[in-house]
Amino acid sequence: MITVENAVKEFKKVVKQPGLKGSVQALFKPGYEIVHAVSDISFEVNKGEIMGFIGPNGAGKSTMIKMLTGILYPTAGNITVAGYNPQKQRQQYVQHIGVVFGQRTQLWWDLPLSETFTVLKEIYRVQQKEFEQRMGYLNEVLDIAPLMTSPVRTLSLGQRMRADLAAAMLHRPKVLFLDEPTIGLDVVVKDNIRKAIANMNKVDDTTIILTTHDLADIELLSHRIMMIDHGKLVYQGTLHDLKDKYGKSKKIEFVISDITQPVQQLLADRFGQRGIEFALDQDKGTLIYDRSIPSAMILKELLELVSIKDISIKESDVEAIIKEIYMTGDKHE
Amino acid sequence: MNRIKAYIPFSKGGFLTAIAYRTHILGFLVGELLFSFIMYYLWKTVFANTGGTLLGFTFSDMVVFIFLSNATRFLIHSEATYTVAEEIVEGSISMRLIKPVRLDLSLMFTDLGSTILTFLLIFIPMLIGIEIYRFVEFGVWMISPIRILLFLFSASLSFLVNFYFDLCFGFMAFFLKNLWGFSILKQSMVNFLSGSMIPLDFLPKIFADPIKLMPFASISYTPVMIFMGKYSGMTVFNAMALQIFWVIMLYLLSALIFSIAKRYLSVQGG
Repeated sequence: MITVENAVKEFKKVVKQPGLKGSVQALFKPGYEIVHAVSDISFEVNKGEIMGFIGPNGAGKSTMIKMLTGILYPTAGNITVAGYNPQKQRQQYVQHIGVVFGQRTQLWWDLPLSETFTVLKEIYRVQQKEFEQRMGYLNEVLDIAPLMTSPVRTLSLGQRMRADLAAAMLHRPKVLFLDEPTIGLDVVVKDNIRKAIANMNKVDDTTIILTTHDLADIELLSHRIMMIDHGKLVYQGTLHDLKDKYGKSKKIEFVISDITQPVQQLLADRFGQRGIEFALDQDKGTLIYDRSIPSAMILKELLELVSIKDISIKESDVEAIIKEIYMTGDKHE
Repeated sequence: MNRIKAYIPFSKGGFLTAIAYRTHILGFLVGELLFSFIMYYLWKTVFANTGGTLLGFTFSDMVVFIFLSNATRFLIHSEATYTVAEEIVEGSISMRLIKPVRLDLSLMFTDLGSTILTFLLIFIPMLIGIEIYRFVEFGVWMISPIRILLFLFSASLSFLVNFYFDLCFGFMAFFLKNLWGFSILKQSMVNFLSGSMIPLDFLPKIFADPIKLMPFASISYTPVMIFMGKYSGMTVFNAMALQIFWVIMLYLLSALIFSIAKRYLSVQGG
C-alpha cells in the first residue's frame, strides 16, 4: 500500500547571530543552515496494517507524515501510496486518504459541525445514500450526533478530535494518517479514540499510519512500529520484537513479611549468574532476572525462600526501552 | 475535469463566515463611506477652483467616479493574499492541500461567497444611491441597463484579474514566510495604479498610457469607465479584451509560481 524508498527532506533554515550586530548582519547577508529533517528512510506498509511512528520531538515523524500526505516535497527519494505519487498527483491522490493532524483541525471553525460534513460530502463526492450510512457508522463509533449543531469553536478538544476523526473517515479513505491523534486528551477520551481507530481499521481494512508520544497508543493499536531519531530510522519491527531485542530482563516486585535467607546467593546458585539482581528496601523487594528464565520457576524458588504478602511481575517496560534508545541516540551527536 | 459543484461549499462557507463577521463588514462599510466623502469634499474644492470641467470630468462625473470606484473596489476585494500568507505562516495550508480540490479555485470560491454578500449589502444600495444622485442632478433617470450589464461583466473580469494578482502575491509567502510589509506595499500600489483613487486620465499621458496597459487598470478603472460612458464602442471591447488577456496571464503566472513555490513549503510549527 505504501512504499517509501530513500526519502530525504532537507530544509534551509536562516541562522542569525545573537544581538544587534547579528540582526544587522542577517539583514544584509543572511546565513543559512541545512536541516536534515529526514535522511534516507525506506519502508513498506501493507494494506490493513497499522503502523506507528515513534521518536522524540523534532525527530522527523511529522515531516515524514507530511511527505506521505503530499504536503511536503521530498528533497530526494520515491514515495508511492495506494499507487499514486502524493506530490505529483496530489488532487487525485488525496481523494483516497484521510488525515488528522492532532494540533490542527479541518473542521469549519465558525460554522456548526454539520456544515463541515455537508461540505466534505460535496468535496469528496459522497453519494447521499452512502453519506447517510457512513454518518450512522461514524456516529456509532465516535458519538458525534450530539455535537452536530454546535459551532466548531465551542467544542472541547476531545469532542473536536472525535469530529476530526469522523471528518477524515467520511469518504472511506484507503489510508488514514494520524499525526498525534491523542495529544492533550484525557484518559477516557484517549481510550474511545483508540477503540474507534481500531474499529475503523477492522471494518474497512483501512491502512493506518500514526505518530504519537503516547506509547499506549502504540501498544494498543500498532501492528508494527518505526522508531525515528534525528531523521533516521533506528528501529523497525513489532513491539514484541522490540521488547525481545532490547528488553532482556523481567522484574518481580513484592512486599515481604519475613526474610531469613541470603536470597541473591541462593537464586544465583540455582539459575546461574544470568543477570539475577535482588534488592531489598525495607519490606519492598525487587528481583530482576533474564527473560530466558521462566517466570514460574523463579517465582517458585522465591516463594520458598521468603514469605511474601504481595507480588507483581512486570514485563520490561517499553517506555524504559525507548528512553534508553533515545538517550543512546543523543550520545552519537 | 473539475466539477464546480465541489467548490460551491467554499462559497457558502465564505458567505456564512462573512455573515458571522457582519460587524466587520459594517465597520468596513462605514470606513469606506467616510473615505468616499473625504474624497468627495476634496474634489469639490478642486472643482470649485477650476469651474465646470476638469480634463473631461464634470463634478457630477467625479462624484459617480468616487462612489462607484470605492464600491467596485469593495466588490472585487479578494482575501487570497491574506489567506494564503496566513495559512503558510501558521501552517494550516496543510489542511487545504489534503483536500481533493484546486488551491486557486477553493480560494476563489471562498472569496465569491463574501462577494455575493457585499454585492447585496453594499453594491446594490450604492448603485441605487448613484442613480438617485444622477436623477437629482440632471432631472432625468440616467439608468442604462446595457451599461450596467457591461459593467457587471467587466467587473467580473476585474474580480478575476484582482484575484489572480492577489494569489501570485500570496504565493510569495512560500519564499518570504511573512508577507505583512510586502502586502501593504501591494495594496498601496493597487489602490494608486488601478485608478480607484485618482482617475488615470488625470495623470500625465506619458504615465497614464502605460499604466492603463498594466493589469491594475483592469482591476477597477475599466468597469467604472464603462459604467460612466467614458468608454464606448471599440474602446469597451478593447478594454475588456485587455482584461481577459490579464486574467489569462496572471492565471498562468500564478500556476507557474505555485509549481515552483510548493517545493519550498516548509510547514512552520508542527
